[in-house]
Amino acid sequence: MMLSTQNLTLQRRERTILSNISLSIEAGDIIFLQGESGCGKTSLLRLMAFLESPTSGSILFQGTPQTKWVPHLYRKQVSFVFQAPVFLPGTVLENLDAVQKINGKQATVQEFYENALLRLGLSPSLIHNEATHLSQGEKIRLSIVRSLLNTPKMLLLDEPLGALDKKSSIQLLEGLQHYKEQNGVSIVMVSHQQCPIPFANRYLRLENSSLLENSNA
Amino acid sequence: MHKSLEMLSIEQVSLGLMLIVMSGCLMRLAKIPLIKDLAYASLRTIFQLLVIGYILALVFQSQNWMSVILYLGIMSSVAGFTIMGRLPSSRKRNNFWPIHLSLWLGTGITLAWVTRIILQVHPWYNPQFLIPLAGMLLGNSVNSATLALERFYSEVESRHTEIETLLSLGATPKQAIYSCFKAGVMAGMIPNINAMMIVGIVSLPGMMTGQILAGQLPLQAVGYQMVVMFMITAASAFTLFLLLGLARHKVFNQYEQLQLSDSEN
Repeated sequence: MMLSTQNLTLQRRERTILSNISLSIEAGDIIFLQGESGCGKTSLLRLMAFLESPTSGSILFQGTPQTKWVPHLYRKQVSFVFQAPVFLPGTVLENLDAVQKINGKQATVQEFYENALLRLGLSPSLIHNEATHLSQGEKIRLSIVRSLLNTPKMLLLDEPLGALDKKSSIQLLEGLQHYKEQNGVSIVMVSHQQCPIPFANRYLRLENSSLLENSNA
Repeated sequence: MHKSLEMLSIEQVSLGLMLIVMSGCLMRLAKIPLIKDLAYASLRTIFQLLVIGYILALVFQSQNWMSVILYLGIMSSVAGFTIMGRLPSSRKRNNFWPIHLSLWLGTGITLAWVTRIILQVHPWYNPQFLIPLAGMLLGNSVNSATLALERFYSEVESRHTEIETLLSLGATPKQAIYSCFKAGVMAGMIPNINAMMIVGIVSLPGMMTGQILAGQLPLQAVGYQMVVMFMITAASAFTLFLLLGLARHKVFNQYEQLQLSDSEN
């Protein structure tokens, strides 16, 4: 069991966002989580990413309660990608190097980054472009590339398809499937749109603060 | 020949007050509604300075280290509460000790350096030196610390997605908050650096003015003023680094989660 949530409840300003969510994610699972805007999908990802704590309930990662992990080490294993990604001032290369610096590593060979960009459908020629000047679709893909530099065991993606056209969406999903086959990462992707290709092995729906599992895509 | 200052008589101070009366007449003529504020501020100036003058006279006469330390403690506490007064209420509780500790240490280290090593004041608690110097240090540190804290928290609020993005990439809280810390230090230090750039060119600063009025030669007064400028900047720097170093930890909870000012966590 990679990650499990047990009776997760989240309340904010006396409003129940999530209610008794219990979910088990195995290694290698790809989960597509749908739901209306504002139903709590992002909040569930944030709890799993340890960016927030639930009002009640618990989360276990690799059998250990989330609260027993050193938080910044946990977040290298369970990486959250924001819906509206933010980049530091500087080029794509400098933003990718910043992740290596966080880990106390030397800057990586440029070719490594270029291959990483190609994997998710980004042109290697973007490497010297200002990261903040990329299109929204490019930013989303770059933010996933950035997160994958830590080789996390789980990737949490918040609405990555929203700003992409169908072709780019398919390219991204195929890139992620290929990455998952090579590295065994588990993926939870949140979207209010339908998935354009068979991507996930599990389809979940968040409705009225509760989680439903669909047997059909 | 240099004339040193004599004690002013009540008549002479009253002539100084006449300048305020003349300012009030100008406001009356121009129908500017500040006469009451001006009068109230003038009365407060007279009252507060008289009270402080008598208290300082007692402290100077006592020649007792405890009364000097008590007075410095009161000054420092008032300075600390002044800084706290500028914070949003959600941030006040967590910053009581960071503000007061950083003021004590930042000012204390600088004051000890100046009085013990540079001026070699004797006895070490001589109020003639400790109190005015501490006053200058605290006054400047209050301004620097207030600017730094306001900037720091405003950066935290506006950059919260950046901070959480860095946390999501495995950054420690110290790494994630660095840009806000840097912005706060710069906001607090730049006024001090600017003051050093223009000192003596635009106006003669207070220490130098006071010394020249008291009969010191200009070149002697300049030496003291240099020390004052250096010590003010250094005290601000020490205070800011300590204050923001402590404040940045308070912005995260025990799970290294960012706590914004209106967070429910």
